Amino acid sequence: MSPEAVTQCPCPSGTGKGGVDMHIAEPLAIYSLHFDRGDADSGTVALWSPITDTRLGEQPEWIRDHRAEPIAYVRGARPSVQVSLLANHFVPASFELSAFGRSLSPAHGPDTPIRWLGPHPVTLERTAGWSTLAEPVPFNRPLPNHIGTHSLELQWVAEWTDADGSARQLFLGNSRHELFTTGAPMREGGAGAPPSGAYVPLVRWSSRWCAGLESRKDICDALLRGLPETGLRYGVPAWTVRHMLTVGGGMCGGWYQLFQQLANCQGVTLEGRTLHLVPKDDPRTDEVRWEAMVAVAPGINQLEPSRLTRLQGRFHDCVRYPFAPDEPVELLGRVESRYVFMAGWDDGHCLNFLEDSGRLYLYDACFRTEAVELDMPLPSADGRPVRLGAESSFRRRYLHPTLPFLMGTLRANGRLWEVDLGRNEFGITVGTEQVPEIDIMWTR
Amino acid sequence: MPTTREQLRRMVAERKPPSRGFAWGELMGALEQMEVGPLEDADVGVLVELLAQRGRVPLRGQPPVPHSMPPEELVQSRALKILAQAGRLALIREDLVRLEREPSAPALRELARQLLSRLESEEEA
Repeated sequence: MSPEAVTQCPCPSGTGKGGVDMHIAEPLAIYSLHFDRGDADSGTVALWSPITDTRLGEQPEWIRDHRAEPIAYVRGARPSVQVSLLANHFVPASFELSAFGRSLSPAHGPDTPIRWLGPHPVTLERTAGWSTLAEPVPFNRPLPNHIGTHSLELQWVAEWTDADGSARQLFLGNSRHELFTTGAPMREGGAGAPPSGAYVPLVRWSSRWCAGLESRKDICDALLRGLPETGLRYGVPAWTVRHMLTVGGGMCGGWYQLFQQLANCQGVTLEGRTLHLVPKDDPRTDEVRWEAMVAVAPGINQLEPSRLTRLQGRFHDCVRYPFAPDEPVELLGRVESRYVFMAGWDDGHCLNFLEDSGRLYLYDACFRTEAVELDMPLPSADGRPVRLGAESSFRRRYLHPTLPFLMGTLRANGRLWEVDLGRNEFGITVGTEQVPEIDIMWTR
Repeated sequence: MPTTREQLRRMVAERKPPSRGFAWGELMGALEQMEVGPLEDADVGVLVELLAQRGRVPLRGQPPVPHSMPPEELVQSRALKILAQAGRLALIREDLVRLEREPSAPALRELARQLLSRLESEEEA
């Protein structure tokens, strides 16, 4: 049978219309299609619901008139599908099953119908009721060999020859599938990821934003550019990807995991690091340099610093630094809302790094819209103090514009300006670029 | 007026948290005191209980929101470090296994993994 014959096939009324009260009255209908069957042979990228934290493939992804969940494969994969049919009376016990649909590759022409599956021999277990084919049916051709999102619509047909030798065909219904092709196999078990695969919004976003891209750097850049489209906001108290997807945003501890997983969906591995400031007490003067890093930008998808997590009060910005305790210094009192990342092990700012072609790129999903190229090796996550001089590329290209103040307990103008967040006392805030040397630590 | 450290001990011994809960700053201060030492058996009991309660402590007021991990995980991270420093990891083997497996902050999982590995090495030796 030619594809043209299928397109001319009269479709039974009601086929393909949604609605839970729809009855299936056709003699024989495609009933359910199961792609991710939880085994290696499926070859799928496992997709998970962040709402229920269950794998979409625990049930057939497509159930006629009831369910139509997306499916995902690494690009160029050749899927197979477990098919269930629902038969009423008066259908042939044996026939050949096929599915036709438009090509997904531009090379074939978008409107060219092709036989995606079959002809596959079928013998029904029963001529009234459900029959699940003994083996999954393989696709005849691979999926597109590039990253992308696709709409795959299949027209299912049974063909057989009657006793009198005449060829017969029966239309079994349409199935429509949201399909993602990803760049490369994922690394399983990343921070905050489901046990296998990824949460479905992440695969959908990343496959759309990175459509047609090849290089790891281009993929990560596209992901960073796409993040505002998610509507997820910075400064919401959530620290895991699933929690972020549920409540609409998160802290940097969640954002860096989300960005890692977006890249992982396309087979790109990022290194996560948490930047800690090392506090140094001076017991002679009771000063502490430094108590916190301070951000003034509102963060992604925020118009102003989040009311949930910002600190609001009077900050004392120091006009110049360093200064001697006994010399007068001008402090600019500003009542503002800012984010404060406390020094020490207990807090810090979470970032991602990409090593590509001998270069190191920093991705800050919370505060930056472009990658930052750095002249340094990937920082070791060993928690050892690292001293940053004024010429450090990390300081100049990232730290100064992103975390523009350091907060300290300092002596100035005859008094000690203490940091006590419980009492809304923010010490003195000094321009990060004015500080000659900054000690930091990196952990995962 | 009992100190926060004493209130924590009473919470464990008598199953009676202070009626108003703990102030976050005072809770952190008490943990800092334990870190400096010396650590008494009652303090060890407090730290073990903090882990068993998954860092959930009745709090009063608005705790500051850490950026890299939730407050409950921060409490557990502090408890782990203090118990590791005191050589009492054998008491919290199950918590280490749990923290290594649960979807918690990567830093906390990594810490749990390292301490579990250290504990197993010590036991083998």
